[in-house]
Amino acid sequence: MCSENDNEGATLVVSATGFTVQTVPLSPDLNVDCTGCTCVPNPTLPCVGYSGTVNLDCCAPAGTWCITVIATDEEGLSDSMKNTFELLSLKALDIDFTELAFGNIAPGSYGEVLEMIHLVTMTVNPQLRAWETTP
Amino acid sequence: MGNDPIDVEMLQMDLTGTAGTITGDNMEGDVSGVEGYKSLNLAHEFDTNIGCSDTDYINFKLNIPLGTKSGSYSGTLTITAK
Repeated sequence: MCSENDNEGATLVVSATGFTVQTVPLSPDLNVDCTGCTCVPNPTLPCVGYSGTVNLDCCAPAGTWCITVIATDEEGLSDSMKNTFELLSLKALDIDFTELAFGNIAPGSYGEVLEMIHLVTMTVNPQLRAWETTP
Repeated sequence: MGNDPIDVEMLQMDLTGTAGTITGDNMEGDVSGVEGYKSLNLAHEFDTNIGCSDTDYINFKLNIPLGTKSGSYSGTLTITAK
């Protein structure tokens, strides 16, 4: 079945090797363009798009992620579709100082300074937005 | 920003002042003790592999050669995530 009313729900599962799986519900979204989608087995029924948003943690590792969409109809039957996407690598550095001050140093000797650096967290989490048209 | 472990590269330019120049090879850096002190006049990449939200320390050492004239010196240090 293809219309919104015929669907029990849809779920999005996002995972990567060694990283916590996230599962989020998908909701009907009229902004999703269903042009070109064909309802099986009844092409006369309107298709409805579903969407959901997954917020990936700032430490979500770069690489290939797996995304699975699971749709369930009112009869309890379900089907799934898997795909992958690549989360791009982003390297950044935060330095806790703007200047090194060694003070007075005598010729023939040396001065030392200790400072800190760390890999910064993201100010805006990357978002993955996925769409599903009803099966 | 920052979802991939980083190494740290540092480059120290010569320090200049009204009294003269202290060449960049007199500046040394040590990131978390992984390699010990390294001269920074040539870009040196430290194999730090700092993870997300981790913090590491850098020790800097500035050697003042004998014969250096008294005065204030300054120079640019560039630190780059690799």
